[in-house]
Amino acid sequence: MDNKIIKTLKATIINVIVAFFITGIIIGAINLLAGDQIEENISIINKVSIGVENKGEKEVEEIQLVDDDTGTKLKNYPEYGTSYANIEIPKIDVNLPVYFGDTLDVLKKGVGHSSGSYFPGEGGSIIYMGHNSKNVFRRFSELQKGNEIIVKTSYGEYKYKIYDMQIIKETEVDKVPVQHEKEILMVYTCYPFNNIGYTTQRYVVYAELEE
Amino acid sequence: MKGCSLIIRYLLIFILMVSIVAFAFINISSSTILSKDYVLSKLQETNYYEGIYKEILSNFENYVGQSGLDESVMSDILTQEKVKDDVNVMIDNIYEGADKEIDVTEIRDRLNENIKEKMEEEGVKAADDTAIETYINRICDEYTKTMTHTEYEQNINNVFMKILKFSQIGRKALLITMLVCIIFIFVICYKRLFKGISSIGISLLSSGIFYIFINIYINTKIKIDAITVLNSSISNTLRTIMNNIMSNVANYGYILFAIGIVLIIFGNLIDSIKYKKEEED
Repeated sequence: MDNKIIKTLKATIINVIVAFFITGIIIGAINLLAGDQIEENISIINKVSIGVENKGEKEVEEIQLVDDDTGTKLKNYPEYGTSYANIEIPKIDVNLPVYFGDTLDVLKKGVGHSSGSYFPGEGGSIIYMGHNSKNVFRRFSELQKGNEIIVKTSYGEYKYKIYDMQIIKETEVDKVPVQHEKEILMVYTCYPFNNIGYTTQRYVVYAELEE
Repeated sequence: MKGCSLIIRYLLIFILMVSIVAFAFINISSSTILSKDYVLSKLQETNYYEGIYKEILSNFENYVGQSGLDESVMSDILTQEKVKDDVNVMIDNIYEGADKEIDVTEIRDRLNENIKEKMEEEGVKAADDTAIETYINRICDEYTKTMTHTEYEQNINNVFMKILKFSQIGRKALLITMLVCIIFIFVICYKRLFKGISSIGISLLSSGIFYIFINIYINTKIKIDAITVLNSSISNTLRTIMNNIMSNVANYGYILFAIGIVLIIFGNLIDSIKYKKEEED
């Protein structure tokens, strides 16, 4: 009886080893034939996964204005899509958050900051935009030269004085130039203000730094 | 001669194992991602219809500010029922090869009506003749895009139809292969039939080990619960389906492993008893 059990055990162990060996061959073959492709696909999937998982874990560093050889600039720029300032235009009762970015999703929340332009205090062109809806810039037509625009950021408060207003075509990007010689705030919205639907014109307000 | 039959037996075990793995794979796919009923039940379970409805409304809101109007123009232009119907149209296109299109007439008419009402109410006018039409077209395109993800739709439909066709043929072919392998194993082991049973056990055991390995490997390498594709509703449903598939893979692995072990022990035990008896006789 013992002999039979030993024999059975021996045969079973051999069979199990054979089963593992066969599995090993299959896995080895798959790895040899498509290992790189599998690894590549997994890394693509994980890139998306990790991006989502890490959201919110990243520490938000304080935005500061610093001077270096190239001039005054921000240290720790705000994350795209986040609010970093408030824009106040007392003449038309505007007080809205400013978000870094210019997508439709951003503009839904408030005023957008064109990502290619400078930030307040950096000494260049700052380009803001907003919808011409009731809650945003519908009353832009009431603005006049000399009116004030205040931008309150976490690193300082900036006052600008309006010196010009222009109606431009959406394609005339040279009318809202990005330069680094003088701090100019350009705020634009769709024109005409009482328009319904898609428009191809923009109303731009130009303001220079007062203090 | 004995060596030759041993090689053939192991070759058959190997082919049987590959066939079992492939057959189980087709079974898992057919009962999950390739099954229309399964996908519909998962869409229901993960509140996909409600999620995608909210997603579309949120996308519509992006266009409100741009239009110079407020949210009220978007009211009642879309219902969750309409979204559900259109999702089912897409599912029919994928699983039944139908060529139905998303109908946006209702959305177009209601939006047009709302805008006209609002214009009269606020005393505003359109910039030009095409401004409102362009705007409505954009909203309708946004809806169709969110529902179908146009750039992927055609590819998905084509691939799915091929996979569905292939899986049906593949299942039959694999069943025949498995039967042939089992018959040949018993033919080779005709003197010791229970050795044949343990040979089949080896194939089942290796298939089980393979599936357990795959389950561990994928769960270690991929963070399924963090996968994000296109939007949160699709991602949520996809994650649920993937987790479900992985648990099916694990279950198949454990079941095949257990049956394999039982057959190996049973085959060897009976074989050793019988063989000993024959030796003694």
